[in-house]
Amino acid sequence: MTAKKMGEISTRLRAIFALVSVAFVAVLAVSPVRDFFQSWKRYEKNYVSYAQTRPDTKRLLADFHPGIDQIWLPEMRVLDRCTTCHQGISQTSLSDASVPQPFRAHPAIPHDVKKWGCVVCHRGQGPATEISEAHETTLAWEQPLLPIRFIQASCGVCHRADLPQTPKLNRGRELLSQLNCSGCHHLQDIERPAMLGPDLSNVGNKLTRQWIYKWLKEPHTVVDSSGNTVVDGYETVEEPRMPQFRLTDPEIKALSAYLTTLKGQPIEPAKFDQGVVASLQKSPDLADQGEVRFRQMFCTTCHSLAVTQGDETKLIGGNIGPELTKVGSKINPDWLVAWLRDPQSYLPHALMPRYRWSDQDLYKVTQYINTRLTDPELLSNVPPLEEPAQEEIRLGQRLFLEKGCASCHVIQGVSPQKDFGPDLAILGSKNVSQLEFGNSSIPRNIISYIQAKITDPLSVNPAARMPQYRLTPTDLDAITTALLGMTGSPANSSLARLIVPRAQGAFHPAGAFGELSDRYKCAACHRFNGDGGNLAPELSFEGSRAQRQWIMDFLKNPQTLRPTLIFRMPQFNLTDQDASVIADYLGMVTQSAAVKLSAVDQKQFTPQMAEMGKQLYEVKYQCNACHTIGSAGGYVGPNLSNAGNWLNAAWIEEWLKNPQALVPGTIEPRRSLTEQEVQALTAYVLTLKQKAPGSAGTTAGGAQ
Amino acid sequence: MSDVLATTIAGRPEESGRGEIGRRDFFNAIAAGAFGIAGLGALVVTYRYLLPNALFEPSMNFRAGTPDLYPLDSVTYMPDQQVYIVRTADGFYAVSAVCTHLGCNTQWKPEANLIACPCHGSKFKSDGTKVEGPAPRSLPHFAITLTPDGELLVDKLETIKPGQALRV
Amino acid sequence: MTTEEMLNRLRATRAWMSIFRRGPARTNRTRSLAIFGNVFLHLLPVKVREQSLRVRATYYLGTISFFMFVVLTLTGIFLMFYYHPAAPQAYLDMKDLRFVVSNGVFLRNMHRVAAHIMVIAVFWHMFHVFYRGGYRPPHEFNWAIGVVLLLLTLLLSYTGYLLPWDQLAFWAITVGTNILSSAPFVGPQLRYLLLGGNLVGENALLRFYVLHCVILPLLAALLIAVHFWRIRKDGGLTVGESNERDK
Repeated sequence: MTAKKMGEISTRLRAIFALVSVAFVAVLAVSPVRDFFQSWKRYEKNYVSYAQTRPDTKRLLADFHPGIDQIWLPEMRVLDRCTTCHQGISQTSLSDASVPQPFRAHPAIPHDVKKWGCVVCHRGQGPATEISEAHETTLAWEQPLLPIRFIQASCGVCHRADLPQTPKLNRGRELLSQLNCSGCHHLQDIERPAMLGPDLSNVGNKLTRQWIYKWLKEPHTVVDSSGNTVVDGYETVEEPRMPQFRLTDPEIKALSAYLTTLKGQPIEPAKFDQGVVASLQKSPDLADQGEVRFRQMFCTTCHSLAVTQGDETKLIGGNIGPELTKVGSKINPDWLVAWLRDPQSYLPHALMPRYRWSDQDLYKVTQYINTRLTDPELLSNVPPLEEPAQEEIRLGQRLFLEKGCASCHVIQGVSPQKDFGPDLAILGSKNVSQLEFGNSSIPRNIISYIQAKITDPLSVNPAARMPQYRLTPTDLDAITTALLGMTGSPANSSLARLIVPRAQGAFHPAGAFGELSDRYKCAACHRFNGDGGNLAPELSFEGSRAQRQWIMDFLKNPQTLRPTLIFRMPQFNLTDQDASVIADYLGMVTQSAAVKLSAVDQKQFTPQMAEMGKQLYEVKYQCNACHTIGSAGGYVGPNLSNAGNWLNAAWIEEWLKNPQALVPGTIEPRRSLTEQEVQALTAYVLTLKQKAPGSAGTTAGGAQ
Repeated sequence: MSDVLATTIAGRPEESGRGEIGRRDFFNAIAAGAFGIAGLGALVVTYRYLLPNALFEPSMNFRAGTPDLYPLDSVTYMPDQQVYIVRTADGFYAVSAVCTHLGCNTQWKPEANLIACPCHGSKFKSDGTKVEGPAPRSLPHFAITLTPDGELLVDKLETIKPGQALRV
Repeated sequence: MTTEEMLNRLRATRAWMSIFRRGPARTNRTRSLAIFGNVFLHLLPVKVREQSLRVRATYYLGTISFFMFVVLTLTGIFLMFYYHPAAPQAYLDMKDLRFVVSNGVFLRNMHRVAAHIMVIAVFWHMFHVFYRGGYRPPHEFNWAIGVVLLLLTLLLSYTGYLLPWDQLAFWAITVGTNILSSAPFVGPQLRYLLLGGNLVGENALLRFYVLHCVILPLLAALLIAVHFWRIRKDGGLTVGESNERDK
C-alpha cells in the first residue's frame, strides 16, 4: 500500500467528518430557533403591545408576567396553561366584545377564573401551549374543548342540585328522569323511582290484547288516531312515558299474548248501591252530570284531555297522571271502578289520591268516562287477534326479559332487571377510546356519540336494545348536557368537598298527617323543604303564612288564589277531622324562623292605620297593579279580597319588609317601606275580609 | 499530537509542504470550527433545557386576605407560605417564618411574645429581630402591598428592610 | 519558571501520580508508559488495515451503533431530569417536555430518532458481519457477544416504549408481555415478574424505568467494551477475507 493511497482515504474521512460536523450544527440550531418562535411568546408580545393601547396600561402590565403562566390544582389533577395566551381573562376592563381574542376577559361568573383555570369547565388540553393542541382533539389528548352550548354540563359536575343559571342542564336532568332513563341505566344523582312503568301483574284484567298490541306498536300515538304526533307526541306538556321499542309484528303479538294472560287477582264486578244506580240510570244527562263532577273535582289538574278548538287539537290539563281522552276504549269498566275506589291496591306506588267517593259521584264519573272518553276507531287498525297460543305466550315471556321490559315493569314472579343498559353515571368523563362507534361515520367525539346513541341507537350499535326516542334538537342538547355532566363520584375527598349535593330523601311525615299525606299525595304537587312537586305552591312555611281556619276552609273547598292558573287543587272531599289534622300539622311544623307569630298583636292595628294603609296601597305603591281586591286590580299576584281571613299579621309584616327572604325567587318587589308604612299596610290588608271565617262556602272560587 | 498520529498512520502528502492551505487542513478547519460551535451551542441548549419554565410549587407571591382579618397587635402564621403576617399600630408587615440558621420552620409563642425555632432554640421578636442565637441574622421582611380589590399581597421574592410597615 | 517546568512539577506530585500512575514523560520508558497506559489509544487495534477503513468495508455500522448509544445515553440522562416514573405523572411530563421545557421536544425527538437509527444500524451491522462470515473463528466469541448486544438493544427499545405512558405504550407492553407469557412453563411467571403484577400499571412502569435507565444500559456498556476489546484481540476486523474473495 502506498502512502499516497492512505492519504486519499484519510482526506476522504476528513471530508466526511467536516460535512457531518456542519450538518450537526445545522440540526442543533433548529431547536433554539423553534423555541424562539413559539406561538405563546408571540401572543404575550401582542398582549403587551395591546395593553399599551388601553387606558389602564399600567395596571394591565403590572398583572402581566412574561413566561408560562400556569394554574396547577394537584388535587383535581388539573394543569392549566390557558392563561399564558388568554392574558386578560380576569381583567374586568377587557370584558368588552371589541377586545380581540385571546385577550378578552371571561364573562362574570361566581367562580374566580384565576383560581380554577379554564379546563375545569371548558375541557381541552390544559398543559398545551399551542393553539390546536390546546383546543382540539388530537392523537395525544382525547378531551377537546367542550362546545359552548354544552358548557352547563360542567356546572353539573359539582352542582348536583339544580341551579337557576343552568336551565339547559336542569331540563336535561328533568328529561332523564321523566323519560325513565333510570329504568335501564344507572345515572348520577337520578334515583330510580319505586315505580317506573305500571305493575303488570294484573294487566290482563285491565286491558284487552288488542289495546296492548296497539300500544306496543305505536305507544306515542295512541291518543291520536290520526297519527298526529304533534298532539300526543313529544310536543305536548306530557312526556312520552313509554318509548317505542323496535319490535316485529310476531314479537308484538307474542308480548300482547303473554300480557293478557296476567290476571293475578281477579277483578270483581263493580258494586254500587242499588238505590243510587236505579235513581241515576234513568236520567238522560247522566254522562253530562259525570262530566260536571269530573270538572268540579279538578281531575284535569293531573290528567289532560284532548280539546279541539277550530282545526287545532290540543291537550289541556296536567301531566302528573296519564292523559285520558280515549281511556274509555282502553280499560275494563269494572277495573275502573275498583281503581278509583282504591288506586294503591292495584298499583302500590300510584300517585293518584284515594278520594272519598260517594257512590253517586263515582257512578256518574265512571259513566262519563266509559261513554264519553272513547274512540270507536281507536283499535280499528289492529289485526284480528285470536286466543293466545301457548307458544306465543312462551315467546312473549322470553321477550319480556330480552327486551328489558322488566326494567320498568313489575310482574309478580319475574325478577326485576336493574341496570339493564350501560352505566351512564360516568359517561361524561369517558375518553373517545372508551366509546364504541361501530361502523357509523359520525365524528369521533363524545357529543356526537351521545346524540347518535339517542337519536338512532342502531347507527352506533346494530344490536342495541335501546328504544327509539323522538326529541326536539333543544331537548337533545339538554339531555346531552346533563349526561356530559355525569362524571362519576369524585376521585378523592378534597374533590368530594366541592360537590354541592342534590337534596335526597323524600318527604315522609309521620303520624296522622303522614297517613293523610300518603293518601292524598300532597308532595306530588306541593314542595316541602325542597322535596316534592312543582305544580302547586311550596308549603314549607304555610303555617307562618296562613291562618288555621283559612287552611281548613280551603282544604274543604279549594279555590284558587291566582285566577290565571289552570291547575287547581282537586276536591278531596275531606272530613272535618282530616282537614283539622292537616291544618294542625301545617300550623305547627311548616313555620318560618323569620316570622314570629306571637310578636304581632292584632289589637295594635287601628282603623286610622288601616285608612292610611289603604292610601298607601292604592296611591303611593299602586299595589292594585298586580293584586285584585273585589273586582278591580291586576292578576299577577294573588287575589287579596279575603286576605284578612287568610294571612297572619306577622307574615304580612315580614313579607312587606323583604319578600325574597321568606320565599326566595318570588316576583313581589322589595320596597323600602318605613316601619310605619309596614304597619299601616298590614292593618289595611287585615281588614280585607269577604265573609266570616268558618263558613266554608259554596260561593264560586275566583271571588275569594 | 494529532498531527503526529496522522503522520504515523498516513504519511504527509506532498502538497502541504508548499505553505498553502491543503485540502486536508481546510477540512480540518471546517470540522474543528463546526465542532466548536456545536459544542458551545450544545452547552447553551443544555443550560436552557435545565432551566425550568414552569414551576410546580406554591406561588412566591400570595394573597393573604383582607386587612380586617388580622386584629391589632397580632402575629398570624400562614402555614402554606411560611410567613407571619404581623399587624401593629404602625401597620402590616410580612416576616419570614424560616429560621436564618438552618431553615427550620419557627413557631410563634404568644405566651412569651417571641418567635422560637424548635430545632436549635433561636429566638426572635415579633418583628423578626434576633434575640438569641444560634441564628446569624434577624428574620427577613417580605414586600407587602395592597391589591386594588383590597387584599394583602405578599411577595416572597422581594425582601425589604425592616421597619417599612404597610399602612392601611 | 516556564510552563514546562510547572507542568513537570505538577506531574511529579503525589495526586498526579495516584491518578496517572506514572511520572513526567521524560525518558523513553515513561513515554512508552504514557502510550501503553492510555485506554483511548487502545480501543483500536495496533494495526489497522487499509481495506477496513474503506466505507464499503463496514459502512461504519458498528461505529454508528456505538455513537447512537452515546447519543442515547446523553439525551436519556437529560430527559431523566424531567421525568417521573409514575402514573399519570409520566404522561404529563411528556406534555411538559413538549410544551414548556426549552428544547425539550428536540431532546426527546433526538432520543427517539437515535433509538430508531441504533436498532436499524445494529441489525444491519449484524447482517453485514454475517454475510462477510464474521461469525467464523476466531471471531465466534465476539459474534456471540454481538448477538447479546442485539438483544439488549431491542430490550432497551422495548422498555423505553412504555415510559411515555400513553395508549400506544400501554397496549404495546400489554401485547408484548402477553407474548412473553406464552413461553412454556415459565411464561406467566416471567410476565408477572416483569410487570410486577398482572396488569400494566404503576409497578410495571417503575420496573421498565429501572431496566431502561440503569440495568440494560450498564449491561450494554459492559458488553460494548468487551466487544471492542475482542476486535483487537481477534486481530482486527474481518474485512480482509471477504476483500480477497471480491478479487
